[in-house]
Amino acid sequence: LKQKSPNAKIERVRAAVVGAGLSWDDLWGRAEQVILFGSYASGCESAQSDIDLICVGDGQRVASKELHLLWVQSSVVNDPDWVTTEIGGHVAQYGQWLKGSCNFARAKPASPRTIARKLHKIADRAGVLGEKWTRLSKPYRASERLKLRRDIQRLAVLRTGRAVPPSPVLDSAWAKEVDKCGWVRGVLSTDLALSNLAVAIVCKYSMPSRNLWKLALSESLPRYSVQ
Amino acid sequence: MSNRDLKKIEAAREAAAELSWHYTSPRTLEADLDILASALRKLPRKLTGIPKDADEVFGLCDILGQLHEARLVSADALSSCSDLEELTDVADYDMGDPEDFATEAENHINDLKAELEKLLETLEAKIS
Repeated sequence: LKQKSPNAKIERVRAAVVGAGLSWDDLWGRAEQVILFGSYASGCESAQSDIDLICVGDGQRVASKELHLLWVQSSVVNDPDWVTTEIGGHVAQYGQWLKGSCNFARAKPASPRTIARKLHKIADRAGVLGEKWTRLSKPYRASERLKLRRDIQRLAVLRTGRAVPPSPVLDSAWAKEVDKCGWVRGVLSTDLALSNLAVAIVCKYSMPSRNLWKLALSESLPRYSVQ
Repeated sequence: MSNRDLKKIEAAREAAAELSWHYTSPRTLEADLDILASALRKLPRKLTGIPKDADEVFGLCDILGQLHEARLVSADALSSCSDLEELTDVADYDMGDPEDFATEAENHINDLKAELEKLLETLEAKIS
């Protein structure tokens, strides 16, 4: 992992914030905490990586190619259950505090609700992709396929009780996986319909059959619904 | 008037009409926006000014940016698109409530649909 000084990281983040049309001074003054997460926080960023930032407090969210900025209320991050969510666990494990300090517990295993939410997201993405496959553009299919594969990997990590690593770590693990279809089948083995659909999209990159995506949307999705 | 051009406009109208008012799934909204982008990309180039190399490259907001440069849609259309793109992007962190997502998306979708309807009427008038 690349090591950068805190000042170098702050300068990189500042450039991305200003590049997104925001005032750095305003953001810095407004946020109780400024937390870098994702690939930049872990030092495994590439030239294509965006900067992922959580600010604690109230402010304007941003999602651009360069910057993903989320604002989270202090009551949320101070809730002991936050570290059992996917993003809370990730931040607790990999986050770097540019302002303020980590005042919540280290990462805890994901809650059953977090696992159910992840399964719901996987079933939803796979079902929608299957349903609309023939009408979607090729770049969109490719991008959603990547997201689906990463979400399946995140699910596998969450089930082990660990925090999800940044995407480049997932991509590297995937590249090394010898039996990719077998691995996907294994992770989703409790849901045959979803497993078959995910294998068709992620491994074979083929048009999923109508039967597969209909089952995912009508049976798998409701099964993992969480309030 | 070219029937082929009219068919392309009609296909874009159908894709815009398929945008629902109420999306609780960011994935469904994103997919429908991609389908809409593909339909807009196929609109007659002589009317829209969208370059040929836009095929499979530009997203919906880029296409609307081109249409805005050609003075065919207002800045509001671009802004609604950017807001929707941002909303679906942030929703990927899975921190929010689906109903809050639907409520927030609704206004932007309404604005975008209204802008697209005006655009397609303008294009129809131009080729008739």
